[in-house]
Amino acid sequence: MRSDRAPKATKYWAALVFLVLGTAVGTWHNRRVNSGKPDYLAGMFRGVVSMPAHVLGSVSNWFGHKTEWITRGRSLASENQALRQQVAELQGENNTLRESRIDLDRLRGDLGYVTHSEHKMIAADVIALRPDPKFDTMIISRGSGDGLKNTSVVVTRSGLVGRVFEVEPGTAAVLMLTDQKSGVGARIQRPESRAVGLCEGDNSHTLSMIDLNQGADVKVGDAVVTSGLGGIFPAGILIGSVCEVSQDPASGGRTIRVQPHVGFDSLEQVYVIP
Amino acid sequence: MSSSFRRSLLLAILLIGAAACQCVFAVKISIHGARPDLVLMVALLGSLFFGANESAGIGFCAGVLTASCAAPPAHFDGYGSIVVSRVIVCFVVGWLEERVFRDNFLIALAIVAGGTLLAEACFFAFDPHFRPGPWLHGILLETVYNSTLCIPVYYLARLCLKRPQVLISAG
Repeated sequence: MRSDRAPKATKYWAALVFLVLGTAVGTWHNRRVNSGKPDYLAGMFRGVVSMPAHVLGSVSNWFGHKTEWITRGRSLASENQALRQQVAELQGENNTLRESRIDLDRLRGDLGYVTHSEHKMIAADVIALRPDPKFDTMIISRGSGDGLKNTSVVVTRSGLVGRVFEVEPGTAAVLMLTDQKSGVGARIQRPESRAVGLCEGDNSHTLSMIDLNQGADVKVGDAVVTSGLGGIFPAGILIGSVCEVSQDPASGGRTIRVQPHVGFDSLEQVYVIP
Repeated sequence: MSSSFRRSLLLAILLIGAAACQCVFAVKISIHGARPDLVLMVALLGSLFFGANESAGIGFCAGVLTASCAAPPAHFDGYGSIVVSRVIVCFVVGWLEERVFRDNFLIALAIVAGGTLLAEACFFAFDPHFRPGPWLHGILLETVYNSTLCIPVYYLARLCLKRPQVLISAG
């Protein structure tokens, strides 16, 4: 063992400085983010990591797509057949819906009903996807410079992903639906039900739907969309489907689980409604 | 370029590379929900080749890098807790290095396992917002994952960061 004769009080002063600095940086970060201001230190570090992460991600995705047939060769034929059948069914459904849309537009015109405009969307690449398993968050390649705000909503073609909670000029942090601090006003889409509740995450792959009326009509397979209540998420964005309705013998209440339609583990690109 | 500056630069490159890999591959290489913490692993292994004060600096940089990429929601105290836990654990490794450590991959293995547990325990102590059961399950798997990956990374870190040998001539 080595001996050390330097005075103990002054020997580790730098370590103490880093400890105090770490606490100060954490406090400053929380204050900035809570007041909706950018944290330039976090933004700088994200900027440093984003370039190599972007290159690595592009190479990894390209390689994954090119070699997918090796791992999925056997299942591709049956999947192709199932998808063809699904496309045929959806084409029929789409045709019916198009007719209904024409009727709806005509009736709205007759009533002078004011419709909501379509949302403008910005495409963004995913730079970091849940790097820490404790938080269901991700970093995307758009920021305040692209018009993103602290309440911007993030979606994919499959449905709702979450919302932006921190923006820097070139990047933004997104809180996913599955995070334990995430909550979104939700509605059962089935016309006979239209029950309203709240979908909450708990860091698992499904969401918990709470705050429903006692006798609300909910069935397994029901589609769940955003209700628009709460003011952050626009109404009508698909969240997922009810995958479990069970009775809690202790409290007498119901437990309703919702399976999100978005594949959170394979996100490469998302769209942001600024 | 001085040896100290060259070693610091190489460590910075290793940390940024680890953070980029963590951002891109963390979910893809997840096993039963367990993911390695590559930045913490590189910071711990890097601290083996530096003194206590420098290691606290390594922990600070690794902590800010991890916290910036992980982006914990602001109503947690996650950001500061990540930074402070990394400073403490890297300082401890650097402090021990001044006393007992020798160049051995088994020691690196023990350091990464113990360091991961200590860092996560510190994090939980500063920010106890998580249910203890899933948290404990998660960190045990993470520790096993980090320990498994650390051996090749240790040899890479040793290649890049080892102090130049000082030759003492007899007589």
